[in-house]
Amino acid sequence: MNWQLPLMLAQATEKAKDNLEELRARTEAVSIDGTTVPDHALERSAEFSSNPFATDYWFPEQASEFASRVDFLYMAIFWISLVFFVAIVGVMVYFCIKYRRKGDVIDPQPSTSHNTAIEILWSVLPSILLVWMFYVGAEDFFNMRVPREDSEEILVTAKQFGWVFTYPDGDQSPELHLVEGQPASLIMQSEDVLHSFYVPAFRQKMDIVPGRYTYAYIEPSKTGQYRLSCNEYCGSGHSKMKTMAEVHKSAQARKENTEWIEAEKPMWENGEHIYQIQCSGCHKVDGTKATGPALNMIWGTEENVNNGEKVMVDRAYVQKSIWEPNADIVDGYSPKMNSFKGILDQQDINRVISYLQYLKAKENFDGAEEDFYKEHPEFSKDVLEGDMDESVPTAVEGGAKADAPSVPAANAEEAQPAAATAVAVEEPVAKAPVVEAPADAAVEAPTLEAPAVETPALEAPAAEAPAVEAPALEAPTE
Amino acid sequence: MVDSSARKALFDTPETHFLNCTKGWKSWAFTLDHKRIGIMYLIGVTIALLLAGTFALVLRTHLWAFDGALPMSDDMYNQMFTLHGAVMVFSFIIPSVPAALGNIVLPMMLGAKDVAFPRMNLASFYLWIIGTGMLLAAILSGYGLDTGWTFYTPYSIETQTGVIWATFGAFVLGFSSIFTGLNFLVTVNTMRSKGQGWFQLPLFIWSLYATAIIQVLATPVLGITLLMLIAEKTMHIGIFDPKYGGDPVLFQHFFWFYSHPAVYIMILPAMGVISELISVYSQKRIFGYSFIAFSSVAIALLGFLVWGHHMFTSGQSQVVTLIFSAITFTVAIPSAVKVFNWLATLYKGSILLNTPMCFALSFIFLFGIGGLTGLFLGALSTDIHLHDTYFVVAHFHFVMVGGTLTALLGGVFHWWPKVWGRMYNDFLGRVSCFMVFAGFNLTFFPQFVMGSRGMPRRYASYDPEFLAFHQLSTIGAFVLGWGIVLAVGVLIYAAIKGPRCGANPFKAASLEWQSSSPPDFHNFVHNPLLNDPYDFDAMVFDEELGTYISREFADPSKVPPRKEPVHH
Repeated sequence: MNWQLPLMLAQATEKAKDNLEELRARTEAVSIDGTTVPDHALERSAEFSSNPFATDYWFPEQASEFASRVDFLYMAIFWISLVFFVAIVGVMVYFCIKYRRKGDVIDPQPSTSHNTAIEILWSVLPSILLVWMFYVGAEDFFNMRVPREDSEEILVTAKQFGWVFTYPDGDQSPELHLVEGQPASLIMQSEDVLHSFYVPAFRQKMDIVPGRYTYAYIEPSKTGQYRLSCNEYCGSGHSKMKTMAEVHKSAQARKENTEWIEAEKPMWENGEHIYQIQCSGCHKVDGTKATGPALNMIWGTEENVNNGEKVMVDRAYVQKSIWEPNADIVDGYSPKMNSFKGILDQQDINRVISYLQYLKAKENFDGAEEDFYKEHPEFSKDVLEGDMDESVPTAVEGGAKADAPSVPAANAEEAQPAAATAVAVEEPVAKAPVVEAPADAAVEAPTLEAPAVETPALEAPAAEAPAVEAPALEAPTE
Repeated sequence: MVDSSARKALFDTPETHFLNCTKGWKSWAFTLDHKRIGIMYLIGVTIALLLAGTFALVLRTHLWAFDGALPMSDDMYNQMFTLHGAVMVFSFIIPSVPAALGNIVLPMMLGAKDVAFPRMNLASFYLWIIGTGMLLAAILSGYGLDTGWTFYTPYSIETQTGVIWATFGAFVLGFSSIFTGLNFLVTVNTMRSKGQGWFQLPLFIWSLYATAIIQVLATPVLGITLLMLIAEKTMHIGIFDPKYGGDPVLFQHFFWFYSHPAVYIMILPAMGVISELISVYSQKRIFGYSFIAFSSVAIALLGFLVWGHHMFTSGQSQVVTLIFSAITFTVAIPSAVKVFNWLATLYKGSILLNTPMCFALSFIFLFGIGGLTGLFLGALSTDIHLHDTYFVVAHFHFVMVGGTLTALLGGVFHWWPKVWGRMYNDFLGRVSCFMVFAGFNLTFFPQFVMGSRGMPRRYASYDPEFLAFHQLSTIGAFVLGWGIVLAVGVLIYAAIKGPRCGANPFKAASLEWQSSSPPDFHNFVHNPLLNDPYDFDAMVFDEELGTYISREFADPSKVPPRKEPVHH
């Protein structure tokens, strides 16, 4: 069989596509949102050797210390197997040609049907090879499983359908970031069902079992981006539960990729980061339906939920659906989400809400990128979360009280005012809240009166608008 | 010595035989005849094969494009591969050779009238229907089934799909398998012909016996496991789901304690078929009879001790992992011994390359690859890389499809003239064999490459670097599918319209060929003449009947002299 054929086919397909951008878009559509697809995944075919007897025909590049050992044993077994296979099939074909029946004459020649010496010989000889394979495999296995003393500990949390990697300094990221030459010991846990951690370039794999910790050990030896995938079937999004393992030159370079929640970022950007780590496995932001509803347009809309009622997607509902996801499920979806209580606190939820507001504003805006920030200065990169330090805790308290999940009936009534409270409380603080307020007003508006959507947005600086509207909304809470 | 008319009465196609001795659907539905039950089983497993094969083609078509070629959600893809696996394993492969071919052939090879417990035999078939029905009910229930055929916890406990229907179906199918196994054990122990010692049995019987031991000892564990899974799912008793204090790895231990021996339920009878085919079509005494016989038993026993090699990455202790790896390598020896013995049997034979022999030779080729790639998975460090990738998918398909399905087809072609008294079109048969062989290799060989390059299994979409290999694989799957359809077509046509063939067209020496084709309702109208199943010189061609019969029955004036006896 011509094993150049796959390569030729692959090249032909590449050509037909021609457009790498389109390829990238299609690939990212089958990955977790916000996760970069390693370039390897797009253009690897050419990197593999076309010679099926070479190691790099069978394997992706070696990015960990023990990868070469695994490849060595693999190729050794490959050659031993090949010799045996060629011998077996060769003898078989030779006999079939030499002793084939000619015409109808059946004339088997007499030969012995039993020979203990030869039977023992061909039982014992292969056994010696098997012992060798077992020994090498076992030795390398222990090298792969027993961590070095100086390895750093990275906490891996797998869940349907995404990954969270927590580094020794508390940073978190949805991709695995490692430092070249720095051995890493992964301490892995699952929040729901079985998963499996697999990076082919590291030749490392370990199941992640709910209810216990499992461990994997890596000595990264080459910088680059590698595929990381879930390898144990885990449900509807299994084939999308893949991300990237990146090996950096230095700890500093890694730090740039793992910095997480930061005061010097806009609130919505922190929200986006939380979304990527915690939500993107099941919720898309490009409008497509996944395990859960898409989030880009959902803020401020009215959704039918499974108990037959309608629910406004506001602060109260967002908080409730994160902490008690199975209480009010949007029609057309099933109760698959686990509670994030204890994982996302009130402040995190506010960040996510800010991100939802940003997404909605972005969807409703059709203009140049830079004009967006002119029209929505509240999302500008200058409005930092750190500047809101004083206001946020207040908002948290106010929100938490009003949205107390134990009183669902009150929730529905107070949903509207609760949102308004948040706006109102933020108001007195100098810069940020003033600009944030209109956003809230804008997205709340459709429920009150459809045409009003445009109004605050058009009155761009809009310092007045919230001042007028906010107190009016605030009234019912008091 | 018997005269010409007596010979005709014994060996010519009779007016009344098991196919037409009684008529009407009830005579089939309530039959206790092992041959009719075997035929019904054969029809049943063929339907299961075609159904599950169709699921496979849907999967392969979807994988034509890396982001999915069919408008199918990932959930639907997951249900497809689950049903493909579950129906193939529980409803097709496990009953295929033992319950379908074994039922037809085993009592006749012993010179018996039927199996020991004919009613239990029929019950086994009806349990098969009920169990398969329940598996399929999982689809019809509207929820589908999306756990993979392994039902791994805790996903199987949390999913909303029809797990209870399906596990109960597998539970019932387990009983069907136990009934068959028990029947065969008792039949072989108690109903051999007078004077037929264990070492005068055809090797197919040895392999069915070894299989039956596994069926009877291992299947109850599956039953218990599945019941516990249902209990966990409905009552939360806290055994498999960590949410209630259970352990998911425990489920894997239980599951593989059955399902690894089940691999040998699938492959051992297939090896038995191959031992028969190789010796008959090379007209040579099987080489190393006792080594092959004992290797079947050795495989059956060792098969109970290696279940942990499915769990090298599962979180089981590393010492246990080491031990399982060591024992796994020991299973390689008896399997290799069989292959070497088959090759030695071909030596100096008179090899007829007809359809069954072509299937037997492609079995050696494919099982060779399947077995040798097992070495990569038995060694620990390489298995860590290859576990749950397409490499594993390719490996077990080479063993189960390249092995069992090929042997089943070979066996069916071999015994088809015996069952229907009619011959198939050998040319078309060989074409179908070639299509199955070529299509199979094209489907699964690229998967080895994908697997070692890191393509995980059970993915509905994949990275574009694997595109070309997936497309080759898809093309191969359709060739394989049409090959199987052609084989089925050739067989059905032969059963209805094929030319009449005599009692023993292949000069085979085991007892089932001493009856007419199709056989009498009671299998033999005379006491079969006990002879060595691999002494082909004991059969001579009778011009008048146009078929091979025992020397003792033939006209002494026309019997050629015995060949030089060879010590054995």
